[in-house]
Amino acid sequence: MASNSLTGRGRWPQPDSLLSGLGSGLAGAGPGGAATGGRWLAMVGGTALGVLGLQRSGWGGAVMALGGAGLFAAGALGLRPFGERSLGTAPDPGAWRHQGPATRRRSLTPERTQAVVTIASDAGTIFRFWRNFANLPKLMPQLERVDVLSATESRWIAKSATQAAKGAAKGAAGESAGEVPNWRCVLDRVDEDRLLTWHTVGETALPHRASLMLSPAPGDRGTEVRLTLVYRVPATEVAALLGVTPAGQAEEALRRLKQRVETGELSTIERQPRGGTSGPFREATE
Amino acid sequence: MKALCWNGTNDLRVERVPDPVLVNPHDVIVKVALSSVCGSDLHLIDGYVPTMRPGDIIGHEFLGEIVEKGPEVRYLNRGDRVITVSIIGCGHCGHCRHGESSLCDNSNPNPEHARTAYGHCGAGIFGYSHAFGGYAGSHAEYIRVPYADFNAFRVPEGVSDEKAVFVSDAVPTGYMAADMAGIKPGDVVAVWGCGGVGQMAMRSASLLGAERVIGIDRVPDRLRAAQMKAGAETLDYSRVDIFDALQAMTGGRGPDVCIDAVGMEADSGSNAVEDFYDRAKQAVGLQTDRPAVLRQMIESCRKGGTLSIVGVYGGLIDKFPMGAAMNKGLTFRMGQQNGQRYAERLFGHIRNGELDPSYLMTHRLPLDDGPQAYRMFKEKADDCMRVVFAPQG
Ligand SMILES: NC(=O)c1ccc[n+]([C@@H]2O[C@H](COP(=O)([O-])OP(=O)(O)OC[C@H]3O[C@@H](n4cnc5c(N)ncnc54)[C@H](O)[C@@H]3O)[C@@H](O)[C@H]2O)c1
Ligand SMILES: [Zn+2]
Ligand SMILES: [Zn+2]
Repeated sequence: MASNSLTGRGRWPQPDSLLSGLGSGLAGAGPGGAATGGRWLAMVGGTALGVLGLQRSGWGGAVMALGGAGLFAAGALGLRPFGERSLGTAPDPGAWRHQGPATRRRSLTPERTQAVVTIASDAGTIFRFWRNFANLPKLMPQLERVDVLSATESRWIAKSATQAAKGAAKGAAGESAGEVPNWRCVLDRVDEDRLLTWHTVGETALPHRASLMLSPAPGDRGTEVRLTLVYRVPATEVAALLGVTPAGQAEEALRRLKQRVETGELSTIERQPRGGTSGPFREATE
Repeated sequence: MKALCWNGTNDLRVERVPDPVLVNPHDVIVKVALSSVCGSDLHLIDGYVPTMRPGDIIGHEFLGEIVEKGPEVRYLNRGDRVITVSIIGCGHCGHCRHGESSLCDNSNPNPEHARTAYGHCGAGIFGYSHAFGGYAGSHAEYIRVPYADFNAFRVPEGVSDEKAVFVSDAVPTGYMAADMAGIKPGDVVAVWGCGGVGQMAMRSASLLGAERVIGIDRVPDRLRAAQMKAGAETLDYSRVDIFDALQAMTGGRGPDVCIDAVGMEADSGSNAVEDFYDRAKQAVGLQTDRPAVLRQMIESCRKGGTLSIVGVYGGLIDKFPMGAAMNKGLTFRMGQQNGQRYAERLFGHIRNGELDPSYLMTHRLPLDDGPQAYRMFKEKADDCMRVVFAPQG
C-alpha cells in the first residue's frame, strides 16, 4: 500500500521540468502584477504549454514549446486567445469589456451581433417591459430617451458618445441635438411574448434593424432572451457615435434587462467608500 | 469612518474613509459590531488574487446592527442585530432560488474578470477583490449590504454575538463541505486544514452522521482544538505520512469523504521536494495555486469516495492526478459557500447547544490593530485561530 504513496516519494517534480519551468517563467515575468483576467490565463497557460513542450524531444516538443511561447506572448501583449467568443469573423475591439454576468454573445459578421441570456421570469413580463420602447434607456445607457410616437413608430435619441461614456446627466442632449445620433424606428413584427422586430427609417447615421426573441427555457429555468442587432455601418463607427460597440450594447442591455426583471435594481459598487488616497489613518488624524 | 484597507501585497492600513450610503432600494447599512479575519483574506494579503486595488476595504465575516434601510427592504428593520452571509446573492436568479447563491447571476456588478477567466461569473463577495465584484468589506465601522432581505439574518434571542458572527462564513462553509459530501452512517471523514473552516467542517460532519472524523494540520493548538472542541482524531502532516496513516486508520479502505479546508496556499510540509516545486512554480506564475492537499486527497480517498472542496482556488494547478481520480471513480463536489441556505438551520444547532463556534474567536481586538492582527493570524502565532475586530471600540 505504501508503494502507492505519491506524497511520500516525491514522484511529482521532475528536475528538468522544474528548471525549464523556472526559465520560461522568468523570461516573461509572472502574472503577479498588472496582468489580469484572460491575459493572466493566457500567460499561465502559455508558459505551462511551453514547459510541456520543452520536456519532450523532437519536432512535436518544439511545436508545443512554440505554441506555448505564442500564447505567452499573447498574454503579455494583452491579446485574449481564450477570451473572445466570436466565431472568428468579427474583430470587435473592446466588445469583451461589456460582457454581462450570464449573457452570451456572438459576433456573426462585423455588423451583426447577438446576445443571449436566461431570465428567471415568464415571457410575458419580459415582453411587456421591452415592448414599451420608452423603457429602453434603462437598458441602454447610451440612449437619452425614446419617444413613442404611435403604435408602431418611435423616435430614439442617443447621448453623444462622450456623454454616454461619462454617464453624464440629461439635458445636454437638447442643447446639442444636431450632433447626437438619433433615428426613427418602426415595428415590423409583434408576435406577443415571442418576437419583436424593428428597424430604422429615414436618414440616420446609424441605420440598423433588430430583434428580440423569447423562448421558454427548459424545466423551470424561465425564458431565454435573444437580442440581435444588425447595423449597416461598421462596429467601429457605432462605437464612435454611441460610445459602445454593438456587441457591448447588446450584452449590456440584456444584463440590465435580467437584473431589472429579476431583482428590480442594478447591482453596483458606485459611491461606496474606499481608502488608498488618504494614507494611513494615524498619519491622517494625528 | 475607520476602515482596514488593502494597499498592496502585505500592506494593510487603517484609513479614514467616507461612510457608506444606501444606493439601491434593497440595501441596508449595518453598523459593524464584530468582523472576523478569514483564511481567504490571506490569499489577498499574500498577493494571490490578482484583482485587488489599493484602497479596497477587506473583511467579509461580520455581525452588526441595521442603522439604515432602503425603501424596498421588507423583512428587516432598523435596530435588528444581524449577521450577513459573506457571499452576496440577489435572491431571485435561478441559482439563488435553488440554494446556490454563491453562483448568483446578478450580484457581481463587475462580471468581466470572472467571465474572462472562468467562462461565467459567480456572485459578488464582500471585501474580496474586483473579480468578485469589488464590494467594500466589513473591517470598517459601517458597511452597505445589498439585497439585504436575502443576505442578512436576524440573530435569534439567546445566541451571543460571539457565536453568531461565524454564521456569516466559517460555519456555513464547513457545514456545506460536510453537507455536499453526502455523508452516510458509518462514513469516515478526513478534513485537511484545522483552521476555522476545517473546525466547522469537522463538527458538521459529526452532526450529519459521520462515524469518525479525522483532522489534519501541523499547528499544535489547532490540532488540539480539533480534538477537544470538534471531537476529531488528528494527524500532524509534518510528522506522519498522511496516506499511510489514513489507510492504517481505515482498514486500508481510505476515508469515505475527504474535505479540503486549506485551499491554494497548502504546504506539503512532509515532502520538501514537492513543496519547493509548487512554491517555485507559483512564484513565477507557472501555476497560481498549490495543489498539495488535492493530490493527497485523491490518493488517500477510498475508491468511489467523495472529495468536497471548500478551500479556495483561484486559477490553474499543475500535476493534477486525473488518472487516479478517474480510475478510482471519485466524486468531486466544490464551491464557494451558500450560507443563505444554511443560516437558519445553523442558528438552530447553536441554540440547541449542538454547535458552538465561539472558540474560533481566540482574539478580539480594535480595528487599529488590523495590520499586526493579520500578521499574527498568518503566522498562527499566540495560538491564533481567528482574530475578531470590534470596530466600534
Ligand atoms: N468556500 C468558501 O466559501 C470559503 C469560505 C471561507 C473560507 N474558505 C477557504 O477555506 C480555507 C480555510 O479557511 P480558514 O479560515 O480555516 O483558513 P486558515 O488559514 O485559518 O486555516 C488553514 C489551515 O490549513 C493548514 N494547512 C496548510 N497546508 C496544509 C496541508 N498540506 N495539509 C493540512 N493542513 C494544511 C494550515 O496550517 C491552517 O491551519 C481557505 O482556503 C479559505 O479561503 C472558503
Ligand atoms: Zn471567508
Ligand atoms: Zn442571484
